[in-house]
Amino acid sequence: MSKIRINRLSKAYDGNQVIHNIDMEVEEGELVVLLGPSGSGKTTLLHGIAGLVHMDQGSIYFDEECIDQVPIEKRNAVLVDQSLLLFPHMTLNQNIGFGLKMRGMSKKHIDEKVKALVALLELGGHENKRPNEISGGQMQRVAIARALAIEPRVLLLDEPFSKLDIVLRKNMQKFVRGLQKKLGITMIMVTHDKEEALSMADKVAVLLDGTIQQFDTPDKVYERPASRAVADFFGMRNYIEGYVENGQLVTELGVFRTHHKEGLKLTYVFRPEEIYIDHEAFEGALGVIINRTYLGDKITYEIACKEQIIYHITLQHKALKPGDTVKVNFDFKNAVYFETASDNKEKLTC
Amino acid sequence: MRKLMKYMMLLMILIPFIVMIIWSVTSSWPWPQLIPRNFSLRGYFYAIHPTTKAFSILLKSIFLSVVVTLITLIISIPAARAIAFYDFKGKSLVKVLILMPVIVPMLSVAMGIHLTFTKLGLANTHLGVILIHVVPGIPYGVKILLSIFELNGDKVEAQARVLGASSLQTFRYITLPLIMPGMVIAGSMIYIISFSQYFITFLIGGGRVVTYAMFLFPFVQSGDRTMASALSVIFILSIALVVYLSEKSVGFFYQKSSKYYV
Repeated sequence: MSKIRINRLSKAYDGNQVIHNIDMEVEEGELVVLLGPSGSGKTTLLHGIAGLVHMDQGSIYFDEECIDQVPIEKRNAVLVDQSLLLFPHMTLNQNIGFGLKMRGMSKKHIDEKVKALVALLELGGHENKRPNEISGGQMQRVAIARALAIEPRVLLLDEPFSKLDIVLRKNMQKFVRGLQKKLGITMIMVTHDKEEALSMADKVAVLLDGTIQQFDTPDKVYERPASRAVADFFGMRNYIEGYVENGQLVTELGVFRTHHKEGLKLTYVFRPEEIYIDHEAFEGALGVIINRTYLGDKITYEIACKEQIIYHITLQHKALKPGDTVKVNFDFKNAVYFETASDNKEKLTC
Repeated sequence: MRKLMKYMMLLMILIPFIVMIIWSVTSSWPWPQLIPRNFSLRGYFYAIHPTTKAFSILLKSIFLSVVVTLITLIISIPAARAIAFYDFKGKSLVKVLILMPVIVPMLSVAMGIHLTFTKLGLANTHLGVILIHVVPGIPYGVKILLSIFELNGDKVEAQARVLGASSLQTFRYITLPLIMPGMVIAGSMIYIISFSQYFITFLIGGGRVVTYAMFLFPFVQSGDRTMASALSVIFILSIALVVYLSEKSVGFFYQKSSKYYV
């Protein structure tokens, strides 16, 4: 297992900048998730580390050893692709032992290692089956076993669970995270699933338009988004803009108390579950419910407040229906906000 | 009705074959006899009798076509792979050119090549015949393997590389087994095409390289139907045998379950 350092990595396809000046450090035994929408360059970055894509600029270091010129087969950075790519003409044993065989290990050594991995990944009884004879979850585990067999310096997972059904996906997430902790594997995983990223990662790198917008622990990334783009990506859909005057925050929805400096322009961000609505409250902005969607464990509301639509998610099954008038309240004290100063920063954050 | 159609189709394919088998063991079959009365194994005796060389020519011919098949496949694999996975200038032109031997009559191609071969000293040699047989096989080899490469994609190969296989190992353990079904089909096609060539063998071989098709031809032309039929039956059976054996041996070699290979 190795520490991975990525230094100013860039890659363009046909003049289209896919990733741009990426810096990242992954500590030994750490699980880092690259999170971003499709087309954000996360797979390109992963392929770059594996050596499948040649980077235009920048360097990659494993334990401070530059591996830019190391060919794919010598990197020991194993990629597990979302389509798993098991070798269809080999049995599970042969699949798992493939990397060792290519390294010229003795048959005895390979057999021992494969046996241990079969036990570790709970694949007993299927050793001599072919990939088309086993279930999706088992195929997943074979792909991981095959990667672990060669004791890679880093394990790279590209949307590994996207093809599994939801129950199996949750199980595999837990299983892989457990395995990663147990064996102390340095792991970089790519996903577009926010929940998967937040629940599994030691650190999350939010990748948007080819740059890392935020690289931090899951709770920090979710609760304190570094930019409006990150907030957008996490579905924090309520933005309230305003300015501070006479010690109060003046917004379109009304005037609220604030501790900010006079004259500041601010944009507050509220996640749908951080909004409070009540039809009996005294305070708050007046709004009308225009839509209600029942999702089983929760209910979402769309509320028209003046010119703006506020999104709200609640667990309580309040008897509110479209057309009802409610008071909407915001917890400005604990909310995330971006300063929209008069310089160019405004464009960056808002 | 559909069943009837099916049997009709089958009959239409089989009747000429059945007639040929009957002719091969008949000494005379004059009109209006529905079934011949005089039988003879003259044709088959001729074929296996050592003085006629029929059998040795058959073996030589099989060997020649096998060599042609191997050479054609060896050329086709990298060509098909390059077209499937790489972008290069003039790719669509190459694609069209590869089909050329099918579109342009072999006759005119062979005429031109004959001149060059004469200059190079390849005319009237086995090597010359082998090379000219490769030409009509190329389109089938490349086209069939191309579709297999496109179907498989190159991701599985990349996975093998990531796991530590060198490019040679990747070809040996991954690419070759994965394209093997296509190799068997393409190989069979190329073999049959080569084995059936008459005119270009005659032209380039100058009559000195005698293949089984050339050996057969005078009997068909002279109207000795018993002989022609017997030799044709052997012709067809030899092809069937070689194709069957190649499929079996590949299956055995790679220990494939029937699910995966053909």
